[in-house]
Amino acid sequence: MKNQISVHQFSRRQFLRRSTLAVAGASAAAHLPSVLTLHAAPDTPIKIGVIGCGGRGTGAALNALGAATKVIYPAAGYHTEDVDQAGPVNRKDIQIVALADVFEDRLNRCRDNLGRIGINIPKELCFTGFEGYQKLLAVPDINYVILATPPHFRPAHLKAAIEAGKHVFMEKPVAVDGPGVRLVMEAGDLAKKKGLGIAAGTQRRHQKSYQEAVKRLQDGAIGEILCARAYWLGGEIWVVEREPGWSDMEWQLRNWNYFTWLSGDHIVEQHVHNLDVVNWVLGTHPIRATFGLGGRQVRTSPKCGHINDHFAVEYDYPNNVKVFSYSRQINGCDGKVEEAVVGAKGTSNCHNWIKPAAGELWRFRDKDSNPYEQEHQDLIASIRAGQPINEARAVAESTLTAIIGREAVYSGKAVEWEAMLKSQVRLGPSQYAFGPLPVADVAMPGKTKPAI
Amino acid sequence: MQINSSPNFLRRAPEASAAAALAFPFVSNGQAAQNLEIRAGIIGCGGRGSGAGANLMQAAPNVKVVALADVFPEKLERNRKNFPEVRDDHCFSGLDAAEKLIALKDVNYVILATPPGFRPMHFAAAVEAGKHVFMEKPVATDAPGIRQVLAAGEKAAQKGLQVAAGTQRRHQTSYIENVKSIHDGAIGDVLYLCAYWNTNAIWHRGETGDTEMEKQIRNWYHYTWLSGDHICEQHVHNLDVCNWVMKTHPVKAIGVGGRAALGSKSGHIFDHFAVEFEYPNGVRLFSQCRQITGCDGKVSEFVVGAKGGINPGGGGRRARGKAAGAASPYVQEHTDLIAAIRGGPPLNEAKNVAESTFTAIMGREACYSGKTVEWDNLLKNGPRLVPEKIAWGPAPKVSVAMPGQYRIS
Repeated sequence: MKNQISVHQFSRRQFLRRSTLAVAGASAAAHLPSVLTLHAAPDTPIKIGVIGCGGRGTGAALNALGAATKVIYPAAGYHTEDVDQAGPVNRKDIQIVALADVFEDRLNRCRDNLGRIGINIPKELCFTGFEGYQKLLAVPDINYVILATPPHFRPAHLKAAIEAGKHVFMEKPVAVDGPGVRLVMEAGDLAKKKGLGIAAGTQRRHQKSYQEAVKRLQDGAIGEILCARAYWLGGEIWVVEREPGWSDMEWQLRNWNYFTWLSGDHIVEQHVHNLDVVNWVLGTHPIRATFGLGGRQVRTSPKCGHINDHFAVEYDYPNNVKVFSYSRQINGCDGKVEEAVVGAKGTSNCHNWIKPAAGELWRFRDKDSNPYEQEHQDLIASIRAGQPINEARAVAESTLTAIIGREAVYSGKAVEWEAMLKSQVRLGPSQYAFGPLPVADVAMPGKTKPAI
Repeated sequence: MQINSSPNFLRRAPEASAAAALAFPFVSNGQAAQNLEIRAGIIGCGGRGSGAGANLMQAAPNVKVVALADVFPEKLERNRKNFPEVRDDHCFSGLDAAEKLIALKDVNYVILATPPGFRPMHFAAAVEAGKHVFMEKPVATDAPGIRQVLAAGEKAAQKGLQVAAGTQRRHQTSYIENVKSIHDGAIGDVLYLCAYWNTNAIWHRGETGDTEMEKQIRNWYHYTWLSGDHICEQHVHNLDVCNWVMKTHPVKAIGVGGRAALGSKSGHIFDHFAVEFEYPNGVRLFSQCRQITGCDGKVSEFVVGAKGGINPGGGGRRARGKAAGAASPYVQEHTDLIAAIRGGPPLNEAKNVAESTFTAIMGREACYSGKTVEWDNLLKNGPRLVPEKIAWGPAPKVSVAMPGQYRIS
């Protein structure tokens, strides 16, 4: 299983064909007062600092520039989102100006990719180590940061970025525990007060097909929604095997997917996308994760840390709505990554079809947007229009939805939303330093206590 | 074949010739049927077999347990204490005990309560021998077993034999009333269903026995060919209710599951399953079953329609069949079967319970394999898990299913 799998590939031509910044900015501006935010003006360049320069951080930076990328999820070694075009990107209005990553080699890889499209980041604007992000945030020129480290660090990074007066694009998920989710919500509120924008990497919210479907569902296309389903049934993802000389901390950071304190486990790290769609459609979040079943059945190698390989969760939402979630990372099984809703008067996949019990099938037939680029464009347009979007709460809620599901599975007990939101249980070491760090035990339902 | 005769039986059916008895020995109409003495043989004298025997004794007048069979002599002896009037020559142990009991001419009613892997062969043999059958759920552990049960069920109908199954909710007042109200449109069109059997871990008897076969049969719950795994052995009850509500069976299943807490204990079953079943009209059934101590529990079903939701068991005490004036469903199922034998409306639950069992098997295979499993394909092509010949010695080699690696056939 060393073969690489290309998941998606978008061309720059495709990007250019769409009506983008100008139109989006103008239409947003048309109905908004001309309140300028900290750095916002239609001609103010967006100057981006990237915090977390791995595959996704690199990919997000390229997406922000509208550069074509090639996304590869290998079985072994890091996942990559590299430049997939020959020529340079010359954009005055969007620039990448600084990079930060704990590891120099990871930062350099990102820097090399940018170099290939004519963007050269000087050494003095490259920051490594655990404090690298702070140094990047201290660069006054930067007005937009991409947060793409392992999710554990997101809450602290978001808070620091907002305090430093930066607009933020942050990858999902945005936390791994209750205290982290609270911090994200607080930082989101602070951003509103400061007129700063926050977009999240739950990119389906920026995908035209989803937007069209969800709008219709919220307008009652299938009546009252009674039940939803969310799936991320996929294969194993990349593993970074330990190399000689690496401390526990270094290995866990480099192989972060497999440690709950870093990734939140795959129900949080990956499945959050699908749970986010459900929350979006329903316009609310669950009251509790009522039942959770799951375990670590196949992917048991120590190189895969201690996380589970499958989860099934039943959520109770307000108004007696139930949501059933299934997530799996096991090779050789059938795949399914999607959502579905059942209403009193029909069904839909929340994405590109709606089937009313009576009446005509609706299908999304337009050209879809590239949501990985669109999410940056929407944020930038909103900043320039003086009315920055703020997705902190929505993505924090979707992350917490996944966290209560994970804890219900880990413990075998119902986990209440409110209890997790108030939780004082913080995952991970209290100090970050390269050195010993034991791997947590595999969760054992009936014995493991929920992190509340 | 061991031939036994009983003066009591002959008194009840004096007109029956030996040849006729082999074909339709206990099917009759009119007054004779109404007074027919029920002469029951219990095959499988474990907890459920003994319990079913006790339930039977409360079910109707003129009922006797006259024969007992169990693979293990000590289990047989233990159950004989409950039925001291059973004659020595009507008590059988060993691997051919069931065969010998079924051959008794003076038995007209058999209770099949062995581990489920044996049910299809016992059911087929009992129908062949012209017995009315009460069979415990589930009724098979693999597709060939289901096919055998379905075929034997049809044969029972042709022969006028009555068949009841231990899916006792179908004999429980609360369920009967609620399912009827759903069928009458009380909640509108059914949009989705839930089924739960989330409980503590069940018994594990360790590894006792001289041969692998003996070890597996004594600890039968932990071997899929014997029990069907707990989704089949236990959760079949809830799945049966959902099929009853839907008046059909699902056509496909996807699922996740595993063995989290059982660890290195002998056997290979899972301790949790979560399955999404799909009915022909697209309606989903969300099923969960777990046997892990210390987790939250729930054993019930829930049906949601466009106009509301119903817990078909009624909740609370009624869910356990204790509605005022209602008999225990464990007794009622025998009462209903005996009424059918004695000339009431015919009863043949073989197809229902075979379909509910196969629903569970389909869910199990979906979780074991990590694949979408389709009813028609699995029923046609699903492999045989139960050995063709049961003998003390080696037993089916078993290993814990690994989704993505496990092959259904």
